[in-house]
Amino acid sequence: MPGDPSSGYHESFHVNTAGNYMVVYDLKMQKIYFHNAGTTYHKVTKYYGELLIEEAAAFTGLNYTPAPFYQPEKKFVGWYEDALLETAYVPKDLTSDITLYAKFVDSPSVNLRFYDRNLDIKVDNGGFNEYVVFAYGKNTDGTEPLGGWPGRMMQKVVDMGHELSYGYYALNISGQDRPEKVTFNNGCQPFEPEHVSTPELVLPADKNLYEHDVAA
Amino acid sequence: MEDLQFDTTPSLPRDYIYRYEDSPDANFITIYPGEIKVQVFNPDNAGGSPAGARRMKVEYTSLLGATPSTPTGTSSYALRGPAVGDWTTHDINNCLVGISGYDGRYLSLTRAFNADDFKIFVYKH
Repeated sequence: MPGDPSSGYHESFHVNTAGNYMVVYDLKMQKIYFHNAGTTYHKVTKYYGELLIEEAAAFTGLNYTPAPFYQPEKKFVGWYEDALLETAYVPKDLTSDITLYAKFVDSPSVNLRFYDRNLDIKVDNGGFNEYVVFAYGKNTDGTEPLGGWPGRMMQKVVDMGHELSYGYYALNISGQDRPEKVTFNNGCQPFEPEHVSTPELVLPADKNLYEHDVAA
Repeated sequence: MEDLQFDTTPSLPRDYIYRYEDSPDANFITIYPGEIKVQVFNPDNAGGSPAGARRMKVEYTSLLGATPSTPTGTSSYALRGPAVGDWTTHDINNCLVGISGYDGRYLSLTRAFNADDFKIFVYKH
Protein backbone atom coordinates (compact mmCIF):
# COMPACT_ATOMS: atom_id res chain seq x y z
CA MET A 1 0.00 0.00 0.00
CA PRO A 2 2.07 2.94 -1.18
CA GLY A 3 1.55 6.42 0.13
CA ASP A 4 0.03 7.90 3.22
CA PRO A 5 -2.83 5.75 4.52
CA SER A 6 -4.40 8.65 6.41
CA SER A 7 -5.13 10.41 3.15
CA GLY A 8 -5.90 7.27 1.23
CA TYR A 9 -3.08 8.25 -1.12
CA HIS A 10 -2.91 4.98 -2.93
CA GLU A 11 -4.86 3.52 -5.79
CA SER A 12 -8.43 2.80 -4.84
CA PHE A 13 -9.79 -0.69 -5.35
CA HIS A 14 -12.86 -1.26 -7.43
CA VAL A 15 -15.24 -4.09 -6.67
CA ASN A 16 -16.84 -5.32 -9.89
CA THR A 17 -19.47 -7.57 -8.37
CA ALA A 18 -21.16 -6.94 -5.05
CA GLY A 19 -20.77 -9.75 -2.55
CA ASN A 20 -18.98 -10.99 0.52
CA TYR A 21 -15.20 -10.80 0.27
CA MET A 22 -12.14 -10.99 2.49
CA VAL A 23 -9.55 -8.23 2.32
CA VAL A 24 -6.09 -9.20 3.54
CA TYR A 25 -3.27 -6.71 4.04
CA ASP A 26 0.24 -8.21 4.26
CA LEU A 27 2.19 -5.65 6.30
CA LYS A 28 5.55 -7.24 5.57
CA MET A 29 5.22 -7.43 1.80
CA GLN A 30 3.02 -4.31 1.60
CA LYS A 31 0.48 -6.15 -0.52
CA ILE A 32 -3.30 -6.20 -0.39
CA TYR A 33 -5.25 -9.30 -1.40
CA PHE A 34 -8.94 -9.47 -2.23
CA HIS A 35 -10.32 -12.96 -1.69
CA ASN A 36 -13.70 -14.59 -1.84
CA ALA A 37 -15.29 -14.84 1.59
CA GLY A 38 -14.49 -18.16 3.17
CA THR A 39 -11.02 -18.38 1.64
CA THR A 40 -8.79 -20.35 3.96
CA TYR A 41 -5.03 -20.37 4.30
CA HIS A 42 -2.20 -22.67 5.26
CA LYS A 43 0.90 -21.86 7.19
CA VAL A 44 4.25 -21.84 5.38
CA THR A 45 7.19 -22.07 7.77
CA LYS A 46 10.53 -21.16 6.23
CA TYR A 47 13.95 -22.16 7.48
CA TYR A 48 17.53 -21.51 6.53
CA GLY A 49 19.18 -24.52 8.11
CA GLU A 50 17.83 -24.45 11.64
CA LEU A 51 17.15 -20.72 11.54
CA LEU A 52 13.46 -19.82 11.40
CA ILE A 53 13.12 -17.16 8.72
CA GLU A 54 9.41 -16.44 8.81
CA GLU A 55 5.91 -17.84 8.91
CA ALA A 56 3.74 -16.86 5.99
CA ALA A 57 0.15 -17.54 4.96
CA ALA A 58 -0.64 -19.26 1.66
CA PHE A 59 -4.23 -18.59 0.63
CA THR A 60 -6.22 -21.30 -1.06
CA GLY A 61 -7.06 -20.86 -4.70
CA LEU A 62 -3.68 -19.34 -5.54
CA ASN A 63 -0.39 -20.95 -6.41
CA TYR A 64 1.90 -20.04 -3.54
CA THR A 65 5.22 -18.62 -4.81
CA PRO A 66 7.62 -17.82 -1.98
CA ALA A 67 9.85 -14.79 -2.38
CA PRO A 68 13.62 -15.28 -2.53
CA PHE A 69 15.57 -14.90 0.67
CA TYR A 70 18.92 -13.16 0.80
CA GLN A 71 22.05 -13.84 2.80
CA PRO A 72 25.32 -11.92 2.61
CA GLU A 73 28.08 -13.54 0.54
CA LYS A 74 25.67 -16.16 -0.79
CA LYS A 75 23.43 -16.67 -3.79
CA PHE A 76 19.89 -17.93 -3.29
CA VAL A 77 19.20 -21.12 -5.28
CA GLY A 78 15.60 -21.83 -4.33
CA TRP A 79 13.18 -23.31 -1.82
CA TYR A 80 13.10 -27.03 -0.97
CA GLU A 81 10.53 -29.17 0.82
CA ASP A 82 13.07 -31.18 2.80
CA ALA A 83 15.93 -30.28 5.08
CA LEU A 84 18.34 -32.27 2.90
CA LEU A 85 17.55 -29.90 0.03
CA GLU A 86 16.70 -32.68 -2.41
CA THR A 87 13.10 -31.92 -3.38
CA ALA A 88 12.68 -28.51 -4.95
CA TYR A 89 9.43 -26.75 -4.14
CA VAL A 90 7.23 -26.11 -7.17
CA PRO A 91 4.65 -23.32 -6.74
CA LYS A 92 1.21 -24.81 -6.16
CA ASP A 93 -2.11 -24.31 -4.44
CA LEU A 94 -1.30 -25.68 -1.01
CA THR A 95 -3.76 -28.04 0.68
CA SER A 96 -1.96 -28.26 4.02
CA ASP A 97 0.71 -26.53 6.07
CA ILE A 98 4.21 -26.87 4.69
CA THR A 99 7.81 -26.28 5.73
CA LEU A 100 10.28 -24.90 3.22
CA TYR A 101 14.07 -24.74 3.40
CA ALA A 102 16.23 -22.17 1.63
CA LYS A 103 19.22 -23.37 -0.40
CA PHE A 104 22.22 -21.18 -1.04
CA VAL A 105 25.62 -21.50 -2.67
CA ASP A 106 28.66 -19.50 -1.63
CA SER A 107 28.98 -16.39 -3.74
CA PRO A 108 31.31 -13.78 -2.33
CA SER A 109 30.54 -10.17 -3.07
CA VAL A 110 33.06 -8.50 -5.33
CA ASN A 111 34.41 -5.06 -6.05
CA LEU A 112 34.69 -5.62 -9.78
CA ARG A 113 37.52 -3.68 -11.40
CA PHE A 114 38.05 -3.05 -15.08
CA TYR A 115 41.11 -1.46 -16.66
CA ASP A 116 40.52 -0.11 -20.14
CA ARG A 117 44.21 0.22 -21.01
CA ASN A 118 43.78 2.08 -24.29
CA LEU A 119 40.55 3.88 -23.44
CA ASP A 120 38.75 1.97 -26.19
CA ILE A 121 35.38 1.92 -24.47
CA LYS A 122 33.86 5.32 -25.01
CA VAL A 123 31.04 7.15 -26.72
CA ASP A 124 31.46 9.93 -29.26
CA ASN A 125 29.27 12.57 -27.73
CA GLY A 126 29.04 15.32 -30.31
CA GLY A 127 32.72 15.57 -31.12
CA PHE A 128 34.27 14.71 -27.77
CA ASN A 129 34.78 11.34 -26.19
CA GLU A 130 32.75 10.42 -23.14
CA TYR A 131 34.34 7.60 -21.19
CA VAL A 132 31.64 5.44 -19.66
CA VAL A 133 31.69 1.72 -18.97
CA PHE A 134 28.83 -0.62 -18.13
CA ALA A 135 29.12 -4.18 -16.80
CA TYR A 136 26.57 -6.61 -18.22
CA GLY A 137 26.29 -9.92 -16.37
CA LYS A 138 24.88 -13.22 -17.53
CA ASN A 139 24.53 -16.64 -15.93
CA THR A 140 24.47 -19.99 -17.69
CA ASP A 141 20.75 -20.30 -16.91
CA GLY A 142 20.13 -17.16 -18.96
CA THR A 143 19.43 -14.81 -16.06
CA GLU A 144 20.87 -11.30 -16.10
CA PRO A 145 21.82 -10.50 -12.50
CA LEU A 146 22.98 -6.96 -13.32
CA GLY A 147 19.85 -6.21 -15.33
CA GLY A 148 19.26 -6.20 -19.06
CA TRP A 149 21.76 -4.80 -21.54
CA PRO A 150 23.88 -2.72 -21.00
CA GLY A 151 23.89 -3.72 -17.33
CA ARG A 152 25.07 -1.45 -14.54
CA MET A 153 27.20 1.65 -15.00
CA MET A 154 30.62 1.38 -13.38
CA GLN A 155 32.21 4.17 -11.39
CA LYS A 156 35.39 5.84 -12.63
CA VAL A 157 38.29 5.29 -10.27
CA VAL A 158 40.14 8.60 -10.14
CA ASP A 159 43.31 8.94 -8.12
CA MET A 160 43.18 12.62 -7.15
CA GLY A 161 42.58 13.46 -10.77
CA HIS A 162 45.93 12.15 -11.97
CA GLU A 163 45.80 11.15 -15.59
CA LEU A 164 47.49 7.85 -14.81
CA SER A 165 44.33 6.66 -13.15
CA TYR A 166 42.21 7.08 -16.26
CA GLY A 167 40.80 3.88 -17.60
CA TYR A 168 40.01 2.29 -14.23
CA TYR A 169 36.41 1.53 -13.39
CA ALA A 170 34.82 -0.20 -10.39
CA LEU A 171 31.48 -1.71 -9.42
CA ASN A 172 30.39 -3.27 -6.13
CA ILE A 173 28.35 -6.43 -6.70
CA SER A 174 26.64 -8.39 -3.93
CA GLY A 175 27.00 -12.14 -3.66
CA GLN A 176 23.38 -12.54 -4.78
CA ASP A 177 23.99 -10.56 -7.96
CA ARG A 178 27.48 -11.84 -8.78
CA PRO A 179 27.31 -12.98 -12.43
CA GLU A 180 29.11 -15.97 -13.90
CA LYS A 181 30.08 -14.03 -17.01
CA VAL A 182 30.50 -10.32 -17.61
CA THR A 183 30.75 -8.11 -20.70
CA PHE A 184 32.10 -4.58 -20.36
CA ASN A 185 30.55 -2.14 -22.80
CA ASN A 186 29.92 1.52 -23.57
CA GLY A 187 26.17 1.43 -23.01
CA CYS A 188 25.20 1.32 -26.69
CA GLN A 189 23.03 -1.47 -28.02
CA PRO A 190 24.97 -4.13 -29.97
CA PHE A 191 23.25 -3.15 -33.22
CA GLU A 192 24.27 0.50 -32.90
CA PRO A 193 27.38 1.59 -34.84
CA GLU A 194 28.86 3.25 -31.74
CA HIS A 195 28.71 -0.04 -29.84
CA VAL A 196 31.99 -1.13 -28.21
CA SER A 197 32.38 -4.04 -25.84
CA THR A 198 34.78 -6.69 -24.64
CA PRO A 199 34.14 -10.37 -25.32
CA GLU A 200 32.04 -12.20 -22.74
CA LEU A 201 34.45 -12.91 -19.88
CA VAL A 202 34.14 -15.59 -17.22
CA LEU A 203 34.19 -14.18 -13.70
CA PRO A 204 35.95 -16.71 -11.48
CA ALA A 205 35.61 -16.54 -7.71
CA ASP A 206 39.19 -15.38 -7.19
CA LYS A 207 39.31 -12.63 -9.78
CA ASN A 208 38.00 -9.09 -9.81
CA LEU A 209 40.23 -7.19 -12.26
CA TYR A 210 40.14 -7.32 -16.01
CA GLU A 211 42.42 -5.51 -18.39
CA HIS A 212 41.14 -4.56 -21.79
CA ASP A 213 44.05 -4.46 -24.21
CA VAL A 214 42.51 -5.77 -27.38
CA ALA A 215 43.82 -2.84 -29.36
CA ALA A 216 47.26 -2.78 -27.71
CA MET B 1 10.47 19.39 16.68
CA GLU B 2 11.02 19.74 12.97
CA ASP B 3 12.91 17.43 10.68
CA LEU B 4 13.21 14.75 13.31
CA GLN B 5 14.46 11.56 11.75
CA PHE B 6 13.55 8.06 12.82
CA ASP B 7 16.21 5.70 13.98
CA THR B 8 17.28 3.52 11.11
CA THR B 9 17.56 0.62 13.49
CA PRO B 10 14.33 -1.26 12.90
CA SER B 11 11.85 -0.61 15.62
CA LEU B 12 10.47 -3.85 16.96
CA PRO B 13 8.23 -5.07 15.55
CA ARG B 14 8.86 -2.57 12.79
CA ASP B 15 5.92 -3.54 10.63
CA TYR B 16 3.53 -2.34 13.33
CA ILE B 17 4.71 1.26 13.24
CA TYR B 18 3.76 3.39 10.28
CA ARG B 19 5.65 6.63 9.85
CA TYR B 20 4.68 9.38 7.48
CA GLU B 21 7.49 9.80 4.98
CA ASP B 22 6.68 13.41 4.21
CA SER B 23 5.88 14.54 7.73
CA PRO B 24 8.23 17.33 8.95
CA ASP B 25 7.34 16.65 12.57
CA ALA B 26 7.80 12.91 12.33
CA ASN B 27 4.20 11.84 12.86
CA PHE B 28 3.63 8.14 13.14
CA ILE B 29 0.80 5.79 13.90
CA THR B 30 0.70 2.45 15.62
CA ILE B 31 -0.96 -0.24 13.56
CA TYR B 32 -2.04 -2.27 16.57
CA PRO B 33 -3.07 -1.18 20.04
CA GLY B 34 -0.27 -1.70 22.50
CA GLU B 35 2.31 -0.19 24.82
CA ILE B 36 4.85 2.00 23.05
CA LYS B 37 8.33 3.22 24.02
CA VAL B 38 9.49 6.41 22.30
CA GLN B 39 13.11 7.50 22.57
CA VAL B 40 14.66 10.72 21.25
CA PHE B 41 18.42 10.67 20.85
CA ASN B 42 20.49 13.87 20.90
CA PRO B 43 17.44 16.19 20.96
CA ASP B 44 19.64 19.32 20.73
CA ASN B 45 21.36 17.91 17.65
CA ALA B 46 24.74 18.66 19.18
CA GLY B 47 27.65 17.94 16.90
CA GLY B 48 29.89 15.11 18.02
CA SER B 49 27.29 13.78 20.44
CA PRO B 50 28.05 10.19 21.50
CA ALA B 51 24.33 9.52 20.93
CA GLY B 52 24.79 10.17 17.22
CA ALA B 53 22.49 12.24 15.05
CA ARG B 54 19.19 13.58 16.38
CA ARG B 55 16.62 10.91 15.77
CA MET B 56 13.66 9.10 17.25
CA LYS B 57 13.13 5.43 17.90
CA VAL B 58 9.71 3.88 18.37
CA GLU B 59 9.19 0.40 19.76
CA TYR B 60 6.34 -1.67 21.03
CA THR B 61 6.98 -3.00 24.49
CA SER B 62 3.82 -5.06 24.38
CA LEU B 63 1.00 -5.70 21.97
CA LEU B 64 -2.58 -6.19 23.02
CA GLY B 65 -3.60 -9.57 21.75
CA ALA B 66 -3.91 -13.20 22.63
CA THR B 67 -0.18 -13.40 23.37
CA PRO B 68 2.51 -10.72 23.31
CA SER B 69 3.73 -11.83 19.89
CA THR B 70 0.34 -12.62 18.41
CA PRO B 71 -1.57 -9.39 18.09
CA THR B 72 -5.17 -10.05 17.26
CA GLY B 73 -6.54 -6.67 18.19
CA THR B 74 -8.36 -4.31 15.91
CA SER B 75 -5.79 -2.38 13.88
CA SER B 76 -5.58 1.29 12.95
CA TYR B 77 -6.36 0.58 9.31
CA ALA B 78 -9.95 0.79 8.11
CA LEU B 79 -11.70 0.38 4.78
CA ARG B 80 -13.55 3.41 3.54
CA GLY B 81 -15.45 4.24 0.38
CA PRO B 82 -18.77 3.57 -1.32
CA ALA B 83 -17.95 -0.13 -1.56
CA VAL B 84 -18.27 -0.34 2.24
CA GLY B 85 -20.29 2.79 3.08
CA ASP B 86 -19.02 6.18 1.97
CA TRP B 87 -15.76 8.17 1.82
CA THR B 88 -16.37 10.18 5.01
CA THR B 89 -17.68 7.71 7.56
CA HIS B 90 -15.26 6.23 10.07
CA ASP B 91 -16.71 2.91 11.11
CA ILE B 92 -14.72 0.83 13.56
CA ASN B 93 -16.45 -2.23 12.15
CA ASN B 94 -14.49 -1.59 8.95
CA CYS B 95 -11.12 -1.83 10.72
CA LEU B 96 -8.84 -4.68 9.69
CA VAL B 97 -8.05 -7.24 12.39
CA GLY B 98 -4.80 -9.15 12.89
CA ILE B 99 -4.78 -12.80 11.87
CA SER B 100 -3.50 -14.80 14.82
CA GLY B 101 -0.47 -17.02 14.46
CA TYR B 102 1.57 -14.82 12.11
CA ASP B 103 3.10 -12.33 14.51
CA GLY B 104 0.70 -9.66 13.38
CA ARG B 105 1.89 -9.74 9.78
CA TYR B 106 -1.56 -10.11 8.22
CA LEU B 107 -4.65 -7.98 8.72
CA SER B 108 -7.99 -9.07 7.38
CA LEU B 109 -11.66 -8.17 7.19
CA THR B 110 -14.51 -10.18 5.72
CA ARG B 111 -17.70 -8.30 4.95
CA ALA B 112 -20.22 -7.42 2.25
CA PHE B 113 -19.01 -5.09 -0.49
CA ASN B 114 -21.00 -2.96 -2.91
CA ALA B 115 -19.85 -2.90 -6.52
CA ASP B 116 -17.88 0.31 -6.04
CA ASP B 117 -14.56 1.74 -4.82
CA PHE B 118 -12.71 1.62 -1.50
CA LYS B 119 -9.34 2.47 -0.02
CA ILE B 120 -7.55 1.78 3.23
CA PHE B 121 -7.31 4.72 5.64
CA VAL B 122 -6.12 5.29 9.16
CA TYR B 123 -9.14 4.96 11.43
CA LYS B 124 -10.08 8.17 13.24
CA HIS B 125 -11.82 7.81 16.56
